[in-house]
Amino acid sequence: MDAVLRAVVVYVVLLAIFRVAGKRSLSEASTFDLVLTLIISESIQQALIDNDNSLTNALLLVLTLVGFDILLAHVKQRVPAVARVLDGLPVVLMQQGELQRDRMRRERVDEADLRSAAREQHGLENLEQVEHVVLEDSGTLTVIPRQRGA
Amino acid sequence: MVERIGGLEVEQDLRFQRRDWMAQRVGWGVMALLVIAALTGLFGRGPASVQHATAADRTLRVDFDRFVRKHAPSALEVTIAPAAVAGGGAAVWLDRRWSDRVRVERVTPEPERVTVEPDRLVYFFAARSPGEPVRVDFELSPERVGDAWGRVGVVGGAPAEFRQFVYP
Repeated sequence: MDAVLRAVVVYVVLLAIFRVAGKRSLSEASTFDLVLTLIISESIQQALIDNDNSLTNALLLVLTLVGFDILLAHVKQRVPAVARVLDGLPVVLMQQGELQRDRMRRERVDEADLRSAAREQHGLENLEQVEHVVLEDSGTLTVIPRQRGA
Repeated sequence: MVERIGGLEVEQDLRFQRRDWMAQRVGWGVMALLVIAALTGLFGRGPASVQHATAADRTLRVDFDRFVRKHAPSALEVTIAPAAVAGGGAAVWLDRRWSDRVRVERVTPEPERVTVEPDRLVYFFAARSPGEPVRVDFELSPERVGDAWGRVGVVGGAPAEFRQFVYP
């Protein structure tokens, strides 16, 4: 019984913490984000297992986590408001060539991040060549280049 | 709701977003409070957690952790008054209602023998005390979550009572 409870509590608490942390946390934008993800996974592991190294415990944990995930996916589909709260929504950080500095500040994204994404995704040289930039709910930046001849 | 900006179609909703940002700030406040509480020892192992209790007849004093966590190391430090050391030994009893909820990992020094009674465990130690208090440490690890009331005393003396909360 406690395996199921532990799994659900961990799922819910981690979900809450990451939503509160903001989109850019753990988006693996920096090397340290990856390190942080690893450390978090190690910290949680011991608590989930709780000295019970049996196959049963391990399978129950996986079953509960995946099952709860499926349940939430169904709820999100049926109730869009829940999907919004749990996943967040994309935010346009640059529209039609214009930087939205207030939104960038709130999401902790700076111009350097935008330029970096523009280079990585489209090989663009500068922000003048960018039409829109969207910060997706997953935390990744997507760059839409300015159409040639526009 | 899909917003349209130039040729871009995106599910942005700035009204929702502003509330989301506000909720994040509230969340950060909660996180900060939890961290501060942890630093003060409210979740165990900190200044707020270290407490002591003394028996009414002053034969014994116990230093304990007010907040502990399940399966995490904790200790009960029992100080016996010199008056309670007699005949080359000291006998300390632990209430079973409490001791059944923990696993005693080690007792320092090793007791000469331990007697099991229905409601308590009695530890007999060889001891000599030329006027100084004598200390016995019980290293333990809680096994059950929740509130626990414990009593410890010298055989024949008044109990020192303590209370602990065990976090999961």
